[in-house]
Amino acid sequence: MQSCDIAVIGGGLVGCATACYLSAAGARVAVIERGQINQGASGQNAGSLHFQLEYRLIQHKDKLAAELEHYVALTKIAIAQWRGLETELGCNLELAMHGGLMVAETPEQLQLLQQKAEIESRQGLDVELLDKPQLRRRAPYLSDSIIAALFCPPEGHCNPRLLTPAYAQKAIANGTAVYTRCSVDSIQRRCGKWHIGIGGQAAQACGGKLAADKVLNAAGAWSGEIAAMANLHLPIFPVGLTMNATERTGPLIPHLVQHVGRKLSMKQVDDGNVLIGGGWSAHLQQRQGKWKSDSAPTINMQSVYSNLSTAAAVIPAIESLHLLRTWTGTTGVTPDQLPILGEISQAPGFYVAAGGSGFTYGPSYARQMSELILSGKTSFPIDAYSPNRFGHINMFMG
Amino acid sequence: MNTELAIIGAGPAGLAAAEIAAARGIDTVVVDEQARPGGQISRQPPADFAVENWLPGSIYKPVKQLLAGAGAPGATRWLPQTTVLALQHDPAAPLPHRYRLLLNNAGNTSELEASCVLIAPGCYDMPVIFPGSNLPGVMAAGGIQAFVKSQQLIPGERFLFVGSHPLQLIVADQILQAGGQVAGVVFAQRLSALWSLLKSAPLFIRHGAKMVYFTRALIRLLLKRVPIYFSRTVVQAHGDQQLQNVDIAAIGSSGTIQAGSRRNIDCDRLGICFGFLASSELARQVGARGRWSAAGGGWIIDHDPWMSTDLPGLYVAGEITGVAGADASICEGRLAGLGIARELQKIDAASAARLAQRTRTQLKSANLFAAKLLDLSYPGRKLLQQLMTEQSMLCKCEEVSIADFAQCLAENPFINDANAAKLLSRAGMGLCQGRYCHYHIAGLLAETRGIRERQIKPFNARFPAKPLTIKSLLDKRDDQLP
Repeated sequence: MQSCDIAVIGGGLVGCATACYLSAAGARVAVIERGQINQGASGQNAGSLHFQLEYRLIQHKDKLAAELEHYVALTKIAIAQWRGLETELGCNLELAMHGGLMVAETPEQLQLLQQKAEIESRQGLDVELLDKPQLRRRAPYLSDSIIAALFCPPEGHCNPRLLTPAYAQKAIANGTAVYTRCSVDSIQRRCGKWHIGIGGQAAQACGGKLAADKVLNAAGAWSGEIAAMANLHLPIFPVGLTMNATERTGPLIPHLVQHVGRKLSMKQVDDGNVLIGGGWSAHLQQRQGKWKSDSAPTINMQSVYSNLSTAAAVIPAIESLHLLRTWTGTTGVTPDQLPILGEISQAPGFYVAAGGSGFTYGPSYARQMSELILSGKTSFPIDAYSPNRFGHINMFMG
Repeated sequence: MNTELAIIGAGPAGLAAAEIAAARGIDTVVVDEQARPGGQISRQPPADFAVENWLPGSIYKPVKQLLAGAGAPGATRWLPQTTVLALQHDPAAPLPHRYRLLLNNAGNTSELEASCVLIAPGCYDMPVIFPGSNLPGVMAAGGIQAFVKSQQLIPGERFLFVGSHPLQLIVADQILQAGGQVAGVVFAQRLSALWSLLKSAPLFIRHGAKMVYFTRALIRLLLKRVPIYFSRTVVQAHGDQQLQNVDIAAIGSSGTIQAGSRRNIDCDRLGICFGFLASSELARQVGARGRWSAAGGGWIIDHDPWMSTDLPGLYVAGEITGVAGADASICEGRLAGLGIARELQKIDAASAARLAQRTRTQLKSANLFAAKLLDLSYPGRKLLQQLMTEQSMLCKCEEVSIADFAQCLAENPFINDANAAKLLSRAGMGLCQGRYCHYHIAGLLAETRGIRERQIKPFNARFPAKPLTIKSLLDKRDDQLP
C-alpha cells in the first residue's frame, strides 16, 4: 500500500495549490482526482478576481455584517498574493489587474454602491465611486444607462485554464504524486491513520489504496460526498452555473465589469474573447431523484438569454459579437456563503477547504490550509471559516 | 411550434425517413442548412438554375429518386437554410415537448418542440494536417465537388487531388468534364489495394453499378492523360498567401514517407480526400451515447435495430452511425422512419418488422461494400501523424501548432482527455468548435499517452452548435425575458 503524509482529495485549484505549498515545505503529498486536473469549477469558472463585495454578499449585508469585515481583511491578503503569483509560479497566467467596475443603473443601486463603498473604505479596501462623466472617460464602452460605478483598482482576471495546471506542475516538481482518473471510494480512520480506498480507471497507479496521516477534502461541490465517506456532514451544496464566451475581438473591455443589482460578470481575456457570466443557473442533472454528481449541469436557455441580455444592456457592443459557446460548471455554496476552511473537530486529521469564491481566494485558502496542516497555526486568522461553526451537525458523527 | 417528428438533415437518410413519415401520417418538420434538400451527395443547384443533365451516372439514381417531391409544400414542413443551434431533452416533459430545438434561419432564431427527433446530419471531409494545409487554395475534395454540383462552377484553374479515398477519382473526373484542368490524383495506397476492391467478385455482383462508375471515371482520367500516382502522398503545400505548388513524396513498404523522393507539382487548388468524419455534435450535445471509430468517422452514435439511440425518442441515421455512404444511409433512414412510426403507434410492431425486412437485407449488403471501402480508404494514424510536422497548424482557429500542443502535453503529464487538453491548449476552442482538429487531437493524445481513443472521450459539444451573433439570439427572445 502506498502511504503519504497528506492525501489531498480533489485536483482543482485549492487541492493542487495546497499540495504545492505542502510539498514545497517537504511533506509527502498525494493528490487524488476522479477526472482530470482542473476539470471542475476551477477550470470552468470565468476567472474573475473580484475583490469588491459581491452582489450576492451585499444582498444579505445586514446578516453578514460581522463576517464582511473579516472578508475585506482576507481580500487584502489575497490581493497581495495575486500580485506576486506569476513570479511565484514562474509562468504567464494571463493575469490582468487593471481594475474592476461594479456598475449601477438606478438611484437605488447607486445608494447600494455608496453604502458598499463606505463599508469597504472603512475596512481599508481601495475603492472609488465614479460618476457618469468620469465613467464616460474611463470606460467609454459602457451603456448610457449606467449612472455610476464603484472602481476597485486591483480587480481583474486570471485565466482559469492556466492557474491550476501551473500549481499542479509545481506540486509535481516538489515531489507530489498526482493520481488522475482515480476516485475515492472509501475513507476510514484506523490506528491513527486515514485509509483511502481508490477506484476508477487508473486505480492501479496507486495500488487501489492509500494511507495518510492527514486528509484534505478539497473536492469543491463534491466535498459533501467525500465527507460522508468519513461519516461526517458538510453543509456544502452543489450549484450549476452558466458561462458564455464570444468570438475574439479587438481590445474592448480592459476591466472586470460587474453589476450591483443584477447577476453579471464580464471581462475580455488576452486572446480577445469576452467571457460573460455572473451566477446564472444551470440544471443539475438527476438520477433516480438524486444529484447525478458525475455529470455537468445542463443548460437552462432562459439563463443564457437573461445573462446575455443583461450583458448587452451594460456593454451594447457585445451584441454584434458571435456567441462561440455556452458551458456549465458546478460550484459548491455554503449556508452563510463563506468558505469552510479547517479541521473537523470530531475527526482529527480530516481537513476541509471548500466553498466561498474559490477562484479569487483559492491561492490564499491554499496557503492558509498548508500552514494549518503543517503547524496547526495560520499567518492569517481563519477561525471564522472553521467547519466547526456548523459543529452541531457533526456532534454525533465522526 | 411543435411537431411529432423533427428530422435534422435532408440528405439521403433524412429524406428516406421523411418519405416514410409522410406515408404514415406523422406530423413532420425537416430542418436543413442548405437552400434545397439533397444533402452533400445530391446537392442541388439553386431553384432558378436550369441545369441540363445534372449529376449523370447511375450511382446518383437512388438519391435523385428520393428528391422527387422533397421540399414541396404539403403535410411535411420543410425548413431550409436553417441550423439547429441547440437540441435539448427533457425526460420529464409530456410528449410533444420532449425535445426542444433552437433554430437559426439567417439570423432569426425560433424554437421547435418535438416528440421524436431524427438526427441525420451526414459527415464532412476529414481535415488533414501538414505543412501548408491552412494555405488558401487547399480545399476539401467534397468542398470542390459541392461547387461543381450545385453552383456549376469550377473553383480554380489547376487541381491536384491527394488522399486515400476513391471519391477523389470521381471529383477529378467531374472537374475534367466541367472543363477544368487536373494536375494529378495521388493515392496513398498501392495500386494493388485499389485492384483488390475492383476485382472482388461478390462485391461486383451486388454493387456492379458503383464499380463500373468508378472504373469509367478512372478510364476517362487516363484517356485525358491525367497522372494517377500510387504509394504517394502530399508532404507540403507551398505558396505566398495562396497555393502555388505541392510537394508529394513516396510511401515506402513499411508505411514510412521517403523524404528523399519529393517531387513538386504546380497547382492552384489541392483537393484533400482521406475520408470523412461524422457530424455527431448535436447528438453529443443532447447526450446520446456514442463510440470511437477511427476509420468510420471518429465519434459516432450507438443505436438499436430501429435506429433509436439510448435516449427515448431520439433516432440517428446515415453517416452519424459510422460513415457508410448514401445507400446505407437511405436504408437507415427508412428503418428510423419505421422505428419512429412504431414508437408513435402509427404502425403495429409486426407490420414494421415485416416492412423492415427487405431494408435490413439491403443495409447488410450496403454495409458490406462500405466496410470494404473503409478498409481500402482509411489512411491510418501512422500516415496522418507523419504528415503533421512540428510547425503544422493543428487548430487553425486558435493557431495552435503541433509543437505547441506537444509542449502542452509534455509540461502537463496529468492531462489525458480531450476536454482537458482543449482547455489547456485552446486547440478546439475556436469558431469551428473543434470540428477541424478533434479527430487528430484524439489520435495525438492516444499516441502520446499510450491509451485508446475511447478513453480520451470526445470534446463536449457545446451550445450553440454553430456560432451566431448575440443580437440574433436575443432578438427573438425580447418578449420572453423575465
